Amino acid sequence: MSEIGIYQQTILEHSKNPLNFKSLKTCTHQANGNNPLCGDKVEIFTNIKNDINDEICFQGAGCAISIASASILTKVLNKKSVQDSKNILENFIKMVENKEFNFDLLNNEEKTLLMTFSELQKFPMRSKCATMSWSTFNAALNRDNYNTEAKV
Amino acid sequence: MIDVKDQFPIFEKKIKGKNLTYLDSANSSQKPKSVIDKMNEFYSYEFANVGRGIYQLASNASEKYEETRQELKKFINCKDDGEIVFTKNSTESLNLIAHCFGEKFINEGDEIISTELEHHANYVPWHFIRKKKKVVIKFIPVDDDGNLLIDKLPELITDKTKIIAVTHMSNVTGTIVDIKKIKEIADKHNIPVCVDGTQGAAHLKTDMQELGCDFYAFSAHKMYGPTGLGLLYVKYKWLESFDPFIGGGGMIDFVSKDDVAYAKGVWKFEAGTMPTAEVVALKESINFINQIGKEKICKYEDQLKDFALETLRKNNAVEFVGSPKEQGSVFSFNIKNIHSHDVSTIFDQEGVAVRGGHHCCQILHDRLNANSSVRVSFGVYNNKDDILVLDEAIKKCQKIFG
Repeated sequence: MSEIGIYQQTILEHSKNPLNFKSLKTCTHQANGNNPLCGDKVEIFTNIKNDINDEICFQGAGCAISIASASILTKVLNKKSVQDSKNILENFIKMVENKEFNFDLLNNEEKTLLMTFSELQKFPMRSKCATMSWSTFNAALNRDNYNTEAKV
Repeated sequence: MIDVKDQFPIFEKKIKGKNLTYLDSANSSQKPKSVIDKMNEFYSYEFANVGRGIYQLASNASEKYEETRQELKKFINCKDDGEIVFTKNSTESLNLIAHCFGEKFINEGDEIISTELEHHANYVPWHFIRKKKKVVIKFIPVDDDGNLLIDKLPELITDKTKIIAVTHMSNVTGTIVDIKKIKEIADKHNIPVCVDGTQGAAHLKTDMQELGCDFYAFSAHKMYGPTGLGLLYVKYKWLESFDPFIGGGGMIDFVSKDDVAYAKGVWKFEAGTMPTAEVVALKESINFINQIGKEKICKYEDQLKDFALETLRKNNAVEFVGSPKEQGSVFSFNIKNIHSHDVSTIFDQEGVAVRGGHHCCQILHDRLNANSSVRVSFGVYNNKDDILVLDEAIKKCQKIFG
């Protein structure tokens, strides 16, 4: 572990080899996000079947924290219901922003993964790096009846 | 060697137990004690609003306010052909020009020439005019090294071209633009030139007689002065032809229920209570620069930049964003496979302050194929030790990211 807590092995590994780093040609929900401070971009796709996230993918360009955060999002929220996903992402953003939160819907492994980002409470200027993909995913979920071909 | 670090109280502060290595002067410079003391003294014993009350305190404050204007005129050598307008910041200075010039002299179908180097502050205000008046903005291109291709300017000019808006010095690549050359081309077509001098004023020779431009926007806080104070040089002929930018107290001649007549000269553009203490304290910043000598500062910062480039070039992982032939004391780079904001966070642990991101220059970053970059910029308080600390901090990033 590096002496700067946020650059832990988990984050470095996910940033170098992100999971589900691809676009979906067709999907039920998609949204774009960007960070005006640095110009970082993210695009998130999901296929919702029977109210469950059946396949979540992302692509984009960004810092280690933003790429790792998106990668971990796809791992944690995949196969979760839309309602649970919204609850988890809200609490993830609260946790990063040093507000009261709970991860009651997560198992221990998932909790540990998300808690990696609690170090960001010490770096408020970087919180957007971690939350960008989560708020973008929220925007995707909130696009009711979205069902078109995503941009590739 | 210039050794003035001990005149800047900020360097007494430790950042995470380490000395502050401040390499972000292109963003804003630190302030010498003389400027901070002047703000304190003015607010403590000399404060009154300017240009309004006729009591002694107000009269003295007004005098000091105008003294700074006179010092600034000397500082940029604007003689009798132009004046200095005080604004909120350099961005407002550029907005003032785009608005006042655009409203009066730009019509549908006209053209504005900008460059690929511009900070958003010298592009977005012109974009407003583009939207409002349906005009075209053309860009003087840069090459892969970030040099501005002024030779392309003549072919961009048409009889519809109304103004050329260009930076004196890029805040990303440090590219120094040959304003004289642009002015020579513009003069053949009688086109005014608006210069964004935000970086130039603090780090380059800034002589309005030599540059010959019509407008020169700059800001106090980048030249060791207070924030909240922008500066704008305007040639007289424009000053008189423009309508006001903002209306209110202080900018009028007389007001009736039927009509308003505006004040003459610069006062027409200084509506409402101005950043008075800031203007008064700016005189101390100019004194600070003059005491060392602008030429000496430019040369010293240039040597620092050369030493930094020489040091960083030894590291194969450092990829420069642009490498212009004429370069001021600013440059940007990326460390291979590490994002600029991760670099900034790691640098911060070492007390090294730099800016990561696109530095309000997305067009230039797109052109130079960089998503973002780490920017290093120098002030008169920097020295070679700062560059050695920077070099070590870069190596630390490489170690963490393996």
